[in-house]
Amino acid sequence: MMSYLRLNLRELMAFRLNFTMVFGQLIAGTIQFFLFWLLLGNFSLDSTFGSWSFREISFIVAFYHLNFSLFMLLSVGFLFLPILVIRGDLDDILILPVSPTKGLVGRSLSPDRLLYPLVSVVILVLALVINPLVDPLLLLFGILVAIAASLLENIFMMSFNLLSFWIGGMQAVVQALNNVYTAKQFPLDGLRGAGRFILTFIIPIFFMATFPAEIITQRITFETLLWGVGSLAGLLAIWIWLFRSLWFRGLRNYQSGGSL
Amino acid sequence: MLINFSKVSKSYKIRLQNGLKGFLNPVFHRVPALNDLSFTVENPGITGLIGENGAGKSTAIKLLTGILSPDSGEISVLGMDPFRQRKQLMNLVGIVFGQRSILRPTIPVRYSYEWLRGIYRVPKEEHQKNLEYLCELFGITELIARPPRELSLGQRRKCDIVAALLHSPKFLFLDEPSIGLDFRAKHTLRELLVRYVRENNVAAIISSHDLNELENMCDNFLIVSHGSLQFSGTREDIEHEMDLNNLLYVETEGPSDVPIEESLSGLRQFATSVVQEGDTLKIAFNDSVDRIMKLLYDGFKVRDIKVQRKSLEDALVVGDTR
Repeated sequence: MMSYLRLNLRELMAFRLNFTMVFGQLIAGTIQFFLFWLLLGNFSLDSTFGSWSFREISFIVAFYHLNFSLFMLLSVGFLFLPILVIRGDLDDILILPVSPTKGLVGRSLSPDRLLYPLVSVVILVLALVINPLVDPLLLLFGILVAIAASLLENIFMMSFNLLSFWIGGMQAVVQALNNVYTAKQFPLDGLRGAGRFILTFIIPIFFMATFPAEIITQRITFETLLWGVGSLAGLLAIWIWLFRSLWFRGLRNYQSGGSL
Repeated sequence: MLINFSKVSKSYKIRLQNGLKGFLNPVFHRVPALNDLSFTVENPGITGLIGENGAGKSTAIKLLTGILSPDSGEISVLGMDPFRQRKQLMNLVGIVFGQRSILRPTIPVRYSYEWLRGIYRVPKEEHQKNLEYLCELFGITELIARPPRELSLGQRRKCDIVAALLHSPKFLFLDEPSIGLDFRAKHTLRELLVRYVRENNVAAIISSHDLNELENMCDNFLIVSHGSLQFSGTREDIEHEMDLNNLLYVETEGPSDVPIEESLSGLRQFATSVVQEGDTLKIAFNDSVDRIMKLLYDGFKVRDIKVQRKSLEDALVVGDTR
């Protein structure tokens, strides 16, 4: 990955404006987050959103950003897969002694993306500043759950991209799913019935930010915690298996680009 | 055995109609690209994979490199299944597609080489040694400090080939490596590739539809047509198989002291055919040119001789029309 990172940094530095704008985007995105934070501060920290106080929501914001950071690191390369498959450009990755996943991730692993998790850490620290009584063990456990949930999101989105070996135009579906995923920034524990089921098991958004924030703020019972962690682990196992299987079958179905 | 390509078939799924009809009712069809294609490569050296456009050359190379998987048949390259063991195999082979480039267009070529060093995990000293040798051989020492977008097509292709050789592969796959190059650049590239292969005792498969290009550089030939193997062997085998004769056009000033029938029957012993048209003799032959020449000078007053050496292309065109 370091080889890719170095190469991408050098490519980024080929044009000064490009380099400046990529980091400018990072700065703009970060400012946007902190503006949101300031906006939160205008409310009384003890006001509520559903059953959540704005103090507690700060954890959801932090985990939402963590999800976003890991998505930017891992899944962005996969967003190009539908185009690479149609044009036969996946050949450029397949002629290298790397797994296609590593090739796709590495290809678009731009150094500015490494800074996104740092911003997530800053937001998490701010959340801890306004929530000083958090149990450190629960905090650590919550962070681990959030990382596992982010992996699930990445594998879920990557798997949908892999369908482009069979279906043309998958990028539109992936974009739509991405839009649905923005719902992770809201507390989803209020959802009941079919909505809850869909956002937990079909499009697993519930685990991304709401669940780890629930753990840290001790809003759930031990049984609910076990149930949630078990479901998350099960979903991860299923999606990893699906992901590997889709890669193998997808590559079997790959047609490359004629004589190009 | 370096390569075993046994009874391999591959077809592509294509959409029959486009436009509104295709949108409303998409109909797909499978088009065969290779039909039970079989061949082997036993020894190092250069094997030419020849065929017309759409014959299945690129498909064969992509199957050999694990980019595509076969519908049926077995493929083994250096003892490995290319599709299932692609990652391991890629460490041992070098691949160049004439229409593609692995080099990043906007940064100096040497940065892309450095990236490849990391990907192939080549030790620094070994990489430096290989780079110096290859840059000198291909004459690109000055070029690697420039980005590919500032290079000519010929220069870029050389840099692409060096990129495929940096990790010292045991087997090279080159798919139309000289496509788009002018005759001088093609000639240079050909010579450099042959020199590299001979100096390093590696094996290579080069595909091209340009027979004249491969004629003098390959030890063996695989001729593919419509996805099937038409011929496999050395140039001599092709000449023998396709009854490929060279032609001598001899202008004479009439017979010498020897009777003409005696001279002609003497020639017919060594030539494939002898046709007399006025003062001109048309002699087709495979070998024994020295004896034919002696008989000519003994039996005729020779005014002029023209030799027409038939190329592989001639042989294959003859083969096609049979």
